[in-house]
Amino acid sequence: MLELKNVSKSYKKNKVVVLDNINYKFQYKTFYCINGKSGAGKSTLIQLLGLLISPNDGTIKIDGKDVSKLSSNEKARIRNKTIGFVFQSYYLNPLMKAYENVMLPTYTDNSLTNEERKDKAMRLLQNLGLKNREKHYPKELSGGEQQRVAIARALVNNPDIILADEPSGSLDPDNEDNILRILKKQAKRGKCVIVVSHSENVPKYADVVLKIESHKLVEVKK
Amino acid sequence: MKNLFEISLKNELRKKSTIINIILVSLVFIFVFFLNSYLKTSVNHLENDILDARFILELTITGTTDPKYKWETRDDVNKLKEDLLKIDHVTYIANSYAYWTSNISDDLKVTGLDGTVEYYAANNKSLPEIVYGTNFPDEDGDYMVCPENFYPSAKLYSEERFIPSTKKINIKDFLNKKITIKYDSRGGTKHYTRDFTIVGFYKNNPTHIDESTCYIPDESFKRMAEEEYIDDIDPVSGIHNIEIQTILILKIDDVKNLDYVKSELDKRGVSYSKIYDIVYSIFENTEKNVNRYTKILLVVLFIILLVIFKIKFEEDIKSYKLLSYLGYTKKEIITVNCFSILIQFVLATIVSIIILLLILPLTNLVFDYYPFILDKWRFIPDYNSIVILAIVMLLCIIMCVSYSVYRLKADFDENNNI
Ligand SMILES: Nc1ncnc2c1ncn2[C@@H]1O[C@H](COP(=O)(O)OP(=O)(O)O)[C@@H](O)[C@H]1O
Ligand SMILES: [Mg+2]
Repeated sequence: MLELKNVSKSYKKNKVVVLDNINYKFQYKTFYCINGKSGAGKSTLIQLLGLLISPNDGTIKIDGKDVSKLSSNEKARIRNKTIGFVFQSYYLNPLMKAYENVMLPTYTDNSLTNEERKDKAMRLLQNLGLKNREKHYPKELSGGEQQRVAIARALVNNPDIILADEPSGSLDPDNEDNILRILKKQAKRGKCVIVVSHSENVPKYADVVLKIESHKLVEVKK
Repeated sequence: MKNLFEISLKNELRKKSTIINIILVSLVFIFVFFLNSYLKTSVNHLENDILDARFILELTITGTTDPKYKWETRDDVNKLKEDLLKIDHVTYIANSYAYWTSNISDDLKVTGLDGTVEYYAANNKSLPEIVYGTNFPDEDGDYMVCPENFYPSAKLYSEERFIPSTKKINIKDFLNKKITIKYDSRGGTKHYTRDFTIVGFYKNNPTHIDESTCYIPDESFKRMAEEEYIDDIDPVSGIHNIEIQTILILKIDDVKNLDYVKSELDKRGVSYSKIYDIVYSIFENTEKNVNRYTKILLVVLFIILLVIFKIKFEEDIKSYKLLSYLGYTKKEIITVNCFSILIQFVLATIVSIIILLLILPLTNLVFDYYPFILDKWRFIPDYNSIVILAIVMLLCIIMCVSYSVYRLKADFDENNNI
């Protein structure tokens, strides 16, 4: 359970309030879709949930534990173990092959051997339909394939929470469906999947649709 | 740790810019190395050039190993002198004391020089060619013959190696003027002053040491030497130690005969030296200048290296941000960054060593083939150059690492502390 309690966020630079006193509980085994106009604060919310930035006010709890006041090292570890990120721009390391990109989050776990890491990455890529593509560099893959590599990387440490910021923003409808189906499957398996998007396709897959409006997070009736 | 190193290694080995970076950095390294070697060799050459120009015609006899020349009494020294004069191309041998300093009489002080002069003993036969005035009117009197480029100053031996033309003095003003020599006995028991009248000026080569070398008659010289060493008479044998203290200055007619004369001296077991200590300060000055230019150049090279690594850092920061998203801690990311800097430096070092190993024999081959490009100039990878290179590298690594750590920390704080 991922919980926001009285969370407010404004940036020092422009002093504009982006999110104002947000209260919400995200549950496991649920696919959330968050809508909102451009500049509404969707990415800000994702970064708060992903512990990449800290709120000015309020607390963020994961499974009841307040994580917003932890040190940057402890936050990094939580990010590594319990949160998987998917971005619109895939954010793959162009110098690493697909499976090496997927392996990246596993290096912080010293109990694994490199063989085990590689195995894991290969299996995940194959499950996501990237058989025979494992040893390609990102630039040799299509957009949809790259995004699936990024999803594999988000899943490799088996996190409880998956945060996706416009994951299908630069994909054609077929690839978008493919990505959303994969994410939906993860939600069904018990993960908390939060997808930020202004695409009309996403709410079809979502269990809960939310919207950021006037700095507040509100539920939208489906 | 091993995993982090692997990440850096993969990144660095696969990046195109790594090759460019490594080439740039190794060029800088090679440049530093060559620069230092060049400066070292040129200082050495300067040293030799000055010594050659100035002293090649003079050797200082400092002793003998041949038992034939006992070097104990005046007769011993005279016998040695006679024998050495028989060597071809030896034109003149004089006794000399560098210790005597003199004061120019007050009416000549206008020259602003301190009046330090070195004295050789001579007679009318052995005097060099007189160009103005006369030789000694009396070989037993207190007369003096000075060089035409007279420059009575101790500075001649240090910073003012080459006399500025504006400072040349008019020798006509000195003719028939008196120079007072003050000297004490070695034991300090007696004090003497003696006035010498300048009667003539001899032709001297401006590149020789002669600008402050004056000749006084043999007999005057002996008298002064005996007075100076009056405390040194051996109480048992009664032998005057003076000749043992005497330095013999040997002159050679031409530079190209120097090696021949040296070999003849070696045959006779006579040891000799060039007067290094006198010109030592000149090298010091030159080296100081050289060091200043090196420092400026090193700073410039440092800046170039830092710019290279700043560009690299800006390129890398994206992948560091990604690592942060994926849950790497600040410390782990800094470690990855340090590894990647180290990898580049190590690779650059290896590349520079390989290039140097290829280039050095080649350049030396060129210099051997075209010696007129740079006479005798060779790259000798000396200890000093290697140490300087190592220091430069170390400083670079430290600066690059501290810069990137500073930047990464600042970045993290910005993200986390609103
Ligand atoms: N790092 C930042 N510094 C200052 N202002 C920011 C920063 N990130 C976002 N903002 C501002 O916060 C508001 C919300 O941005 P964002 O969360 O990216 O919106 P969305 O993702 O919904 O388009 C925007 O007005 C944006 O200009
Ligand atoms: Mg956004």
